[in-house]
Amino acid sequence: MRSPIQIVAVLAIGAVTGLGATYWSVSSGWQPGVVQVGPWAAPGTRLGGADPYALALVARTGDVPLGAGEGILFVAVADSSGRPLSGACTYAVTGSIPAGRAWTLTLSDREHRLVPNPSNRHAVTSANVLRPVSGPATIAVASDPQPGNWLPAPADAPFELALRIYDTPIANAVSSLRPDALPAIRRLACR
Amino acid sequence: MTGRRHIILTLATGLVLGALVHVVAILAMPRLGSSSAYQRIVATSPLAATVLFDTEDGAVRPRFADPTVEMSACAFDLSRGPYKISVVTRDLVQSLAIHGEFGGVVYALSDRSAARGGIALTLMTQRQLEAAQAREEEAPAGELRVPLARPRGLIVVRAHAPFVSQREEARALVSSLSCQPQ
Repeated sequence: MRSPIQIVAVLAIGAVTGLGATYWSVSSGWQPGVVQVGPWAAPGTRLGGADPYALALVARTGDVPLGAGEGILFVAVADSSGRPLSGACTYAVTGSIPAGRAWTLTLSDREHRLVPNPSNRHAVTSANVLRPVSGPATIAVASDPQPGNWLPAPADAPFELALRIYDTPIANAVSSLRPDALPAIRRLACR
Repeated sequence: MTGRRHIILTLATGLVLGALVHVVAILAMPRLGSSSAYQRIVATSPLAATVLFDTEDGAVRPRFADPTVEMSACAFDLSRGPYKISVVTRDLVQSLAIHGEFGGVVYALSDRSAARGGIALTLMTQRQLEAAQAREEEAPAGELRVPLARPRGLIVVRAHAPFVSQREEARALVSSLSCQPQ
């Protein structure tokens, strides 16, 4: 027979570890449903209500994530070599983008907000991207103006890149994407 | 039992209980809060009203809001009856999604599902659907009947305007979202 001390101990351990794990996973934003494709991460929100950690985050932040029938969002916080993206460096985002009716590439700060810039450029899209005669398009990401496709970056501040592909069959098959299915983010030079 | 086995058993039982507590807490969290998109919208707008999103300001701002996409939403509550939802579709890439009261996408479709220049849905609870079928009411042609497990949620509509000149049209399209309680 268990003693009262044992029962109290079991309850205490249960409460502390259970609530502690909950607090930790919520405050650190731990998302087990995230799928990594090269430098790009697809959030667990793409699974709708199937990922309870993503759902808890959506409920707290009042987010309205994309459903799989609408499209898919990928976010990169580091380049293809794993180094955090910074406005002190120049990057080239190169590579083919999976088929969809449209895609947009945008830059945001670490709070997921658009960064004001003098050119008022915030997105490169499948409709206005300049493509070379052959091969995939390259988008330059830098704080100084670049020729061709250029997405302005905040000088010397960390940033994130968001790639959204709309109306695409890959939204339901993200975990089967190869790492090179999405563009590489190559760091060219840093100040 | 020896003292050490007591301790190990207590620890193991405590950890199992902890795992259960954690699972229950994570599953319950969305229902305990009041900051889901649905809750934020009904706090400031009446049910069935079409609310336009602003990508920078506003009570509801999706994380990673796309500056080329205009969005609008309406909140619904099926407790009093079904809702008829419609939105006009044209040549921009558009989509419509149904979000739950506490977050999470329930259904999502693109304007490729549109018929005759728009998307038309009737949202019903399972009970309301069975009642309509018992009355042998046929859904009008081109209208989709969507049975929902939960009565409250959001319709969210998007229109992608890659060129600034299309912004006005995108706003007009998402403003055409109509949610009518029946």
